[in-house]
Amino acid sequence: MFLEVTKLEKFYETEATKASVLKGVSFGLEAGQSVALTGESGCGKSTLLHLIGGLETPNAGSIRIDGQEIADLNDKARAELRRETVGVIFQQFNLVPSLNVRSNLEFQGRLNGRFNPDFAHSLAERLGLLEHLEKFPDQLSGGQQQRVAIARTLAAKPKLVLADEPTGNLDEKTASEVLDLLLGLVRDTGVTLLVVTHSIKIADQLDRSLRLSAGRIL
Amino acid sequence: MKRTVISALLSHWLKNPLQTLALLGGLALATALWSGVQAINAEARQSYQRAANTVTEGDFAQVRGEVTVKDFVLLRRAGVLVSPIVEGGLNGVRIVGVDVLTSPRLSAIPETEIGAIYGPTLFGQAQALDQLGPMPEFRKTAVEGAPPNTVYGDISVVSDLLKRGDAIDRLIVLKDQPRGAVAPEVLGYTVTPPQAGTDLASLTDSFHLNLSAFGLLSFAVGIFIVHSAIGLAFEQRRPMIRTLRAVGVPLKMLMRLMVLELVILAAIAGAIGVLLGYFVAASLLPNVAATLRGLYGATIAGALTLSPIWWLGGVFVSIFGALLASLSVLLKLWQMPVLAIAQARNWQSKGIARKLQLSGLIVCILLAIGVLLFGEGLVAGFILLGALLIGASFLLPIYLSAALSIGQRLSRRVLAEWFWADTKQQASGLALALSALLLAMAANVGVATMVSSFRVTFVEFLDQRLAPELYIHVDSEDQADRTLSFVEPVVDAVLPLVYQDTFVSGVPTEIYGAKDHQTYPDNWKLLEGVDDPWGQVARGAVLVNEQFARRTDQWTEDKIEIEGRMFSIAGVYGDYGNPIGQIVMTQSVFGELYPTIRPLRFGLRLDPEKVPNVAEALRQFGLADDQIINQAAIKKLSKDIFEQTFVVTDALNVLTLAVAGFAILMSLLTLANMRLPQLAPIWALGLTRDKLAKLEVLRAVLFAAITSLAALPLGLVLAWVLLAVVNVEAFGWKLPMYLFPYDYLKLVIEALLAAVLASLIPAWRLKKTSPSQMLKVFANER
Repeated sequence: MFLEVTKLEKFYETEATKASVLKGVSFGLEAGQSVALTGESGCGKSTLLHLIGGLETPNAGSIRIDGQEIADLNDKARAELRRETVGVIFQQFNLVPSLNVRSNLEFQGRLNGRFNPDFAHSLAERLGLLEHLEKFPDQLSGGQQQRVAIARTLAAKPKLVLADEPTGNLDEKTASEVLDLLLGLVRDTGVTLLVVTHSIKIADQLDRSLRLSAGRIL
Repeated sequence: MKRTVISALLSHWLKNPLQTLALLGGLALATALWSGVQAINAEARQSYQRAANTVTEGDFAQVRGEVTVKDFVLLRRAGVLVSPIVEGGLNGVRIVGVDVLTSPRLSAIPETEIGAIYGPTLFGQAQALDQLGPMPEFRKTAVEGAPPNTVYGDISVVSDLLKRGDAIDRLIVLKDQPRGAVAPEVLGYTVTPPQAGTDLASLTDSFHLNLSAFGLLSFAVGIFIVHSAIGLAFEQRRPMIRTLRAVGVPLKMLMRLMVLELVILAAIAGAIGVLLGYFVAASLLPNVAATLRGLYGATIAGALTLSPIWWLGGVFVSIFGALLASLSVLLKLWQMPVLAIAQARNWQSKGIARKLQLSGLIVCILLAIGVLLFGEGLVAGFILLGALLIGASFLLPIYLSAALSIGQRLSRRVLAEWFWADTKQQASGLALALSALLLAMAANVGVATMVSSFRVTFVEFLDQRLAPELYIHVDSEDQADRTLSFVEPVVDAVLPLVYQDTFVSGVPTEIYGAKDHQTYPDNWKLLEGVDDPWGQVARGAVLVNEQFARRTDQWTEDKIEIEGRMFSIAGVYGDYGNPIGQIVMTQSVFGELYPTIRPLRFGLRLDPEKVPNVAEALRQFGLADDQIINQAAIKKLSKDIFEQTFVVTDALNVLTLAVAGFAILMSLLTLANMRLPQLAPIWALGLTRDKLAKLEVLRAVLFAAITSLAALPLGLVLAWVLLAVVNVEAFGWKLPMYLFPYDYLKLVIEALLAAVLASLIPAWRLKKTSPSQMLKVFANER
């Protein structure tokens, strides 16, 4: 099993309340699989994705990626995990506003030392970004920004791509184009993909679908 | 409706305590420095006013030279109203003995107390009387209107106190003389006019102008903070303002209420500021008094008495500053369509800002060139300073952008590339705070260079002018003859010091007669001169000081008329700290011009090791302690005074830098929240919050370092203007400019340290930002 999540728990505490978001989630993913994670708003999909991506820490349970336990990693090791192993694509694109498209695209790959200019060029070409390389994020449309985010993630050659509603901010036509490109590239590169989505249409295009409800996998 | 709107507006400040602190703190600090400096100035001016109203014996013409009781009797018999004076010093206090029966009315001795003077009584300010120490045999009467550091008593009482016997020092010539009275000059006496050329108010005006410029600069730095706080508040309140407009609040009312809101906040900040200003002034005033005493001999009181107008003025300045700082924001709001208000600033507005900066820069450059070519006077000097400083703050964003672009281009690693690009993006948000730092540092460099150049020049000048190892002064020609015949065999040379106050080319001038001796060519550095100037002086030419040369525009090889004779100027020497003109000629020529004046002061050249023995021998011979002055002691005293001098400017330097540091801190704190969307992606891509926080500190240091690089040359230009333009206009002499790399390095380190301190809190907050806060950036929840 490439990704193995076991009895994962996450809650948020305030002085007065304790809100359990994940209540013992368990599931596994084989290498190269693409899986949809669906569920109602607020059921904990994004939280689960963030925990797998090393962006947050769980309160209990285990997450193993390619055999490595990441649930109890410290801040530095989790940063390394995000840099080396995982690529995250957000709904809000999360481009670096001060860098142009070219630098954004190269950023993570150069950060983890796996940057290949030819591969990056082919990604840019396939995603229709060649004419926008010198532009800055605020000069691009939403669809273009999300393509840059996808290109950046894949250019870093991660083992696992986590996508949090990657087309949630796009219109239907653009969303469809972007998704097609993402799935095509994932298949071609053989990377494992976990996509958080509300869309049944997207879920249908992936290998498997997981449904999260009230903090548990159904 | 008004109440609802204003409570909505004020709710922003309650919800954003940091911005409120930046606004109130900026205004309060600006007002504090401004009103503090004004308080010092006002207090000093009041002291001068009190001094100006004080009548002293110096306000009358005086018969000088070898004057005895016989001369007094002779002149009185000739119908001339003169009054004898005895003068000396005790415990650092000047003691003047007057004859109340013949003396004009002096401020130090109240009419009602005249009868008590034979008491024996001493009159003077309480501080001067205290300084004399315990004197049980005298009654001490404190007189508020007495001149500072001077004590008056009856001539017989003072003569006894100073052990002067029947000797008198000079005679006051009363202003209203009886008809038919002969002039003392007719009887062969030398009469010096009332003290001239020592107008304290005009001399110290320059010092106060410097202080005011400092206060204004500090205020400008504070206004930068306020402008920044108001700008940010406006940016953040755009949606609220749009909503208010959308629900039907009229634009005029909204504008009026926003102005009212600012006035309320500024009045609160102003009140805090004047209170702080009071403490700034109270803590600096003793040093100001020391500085003025050291520089000009002007004594001001060491305590504050402030009028209600000062307090109100401070609050008014705060309100004015706040309105000035918010002018652009209010204008923007006035011109903006309702729906555009909620949109964030776009590239176009950045372009407009850049154009405005360039236009401002060009205006400042033209103004500076205009003033350099055509300007005259102190005001022109300060306009030049203003143009330089404001022009530099316009240039700063352009310079920062260029410097950061170079850094970006030179960077090879991806993180470095991002760091430079991100820093460049952040520069516009910090531009105002960095302008504040630039101004503060440039002023620091400028004033430090000026003060230190002054110090170096003055110390060198002391070494030149105080070449003789011992100085002695005697009371009479007889004593002079006896002392000289005793001392000449035991020293290498005796240099008589003889001078006369007069007017030359219409300006008050001291004429000195100098012995033809190698001491002068060996020690005196001339600013300009003919070949072998001292040889020329020996052949009948004269040397003039810079003040005389500038005031009369007579320089080397020009001819001047002194007492009806023409003299050629062989050179010009620097004469720092002297307010009036001075001319040096040989003793023999001096003797021809002023035959009645005999030297009573002498400089003695001898082996420095022999100084204690010779001084002791002179004491044994009969000279009193205060008649023998060790050159080393004078130098030490002068240098000690100089150490005290300008302490106030040093303190203001530190304060201004602190205000600039506060500006950076407030800008970083207010920007921190807006920074999260820029930093969260980098964190998500694999950088720890700890590393990002460290990079934030590094960024602040980089900003301070780049700003320092600009501040150094700007400060040096500022120093040049202060030394070569302002100083010449204010004092009448030009100071040589020296560079002090160690001081500049220290200042840069201080600025970097201020930047580190200012960035620590925002960096710490970033480090402690929870991942869930970071993740909100991607979830559109912010």
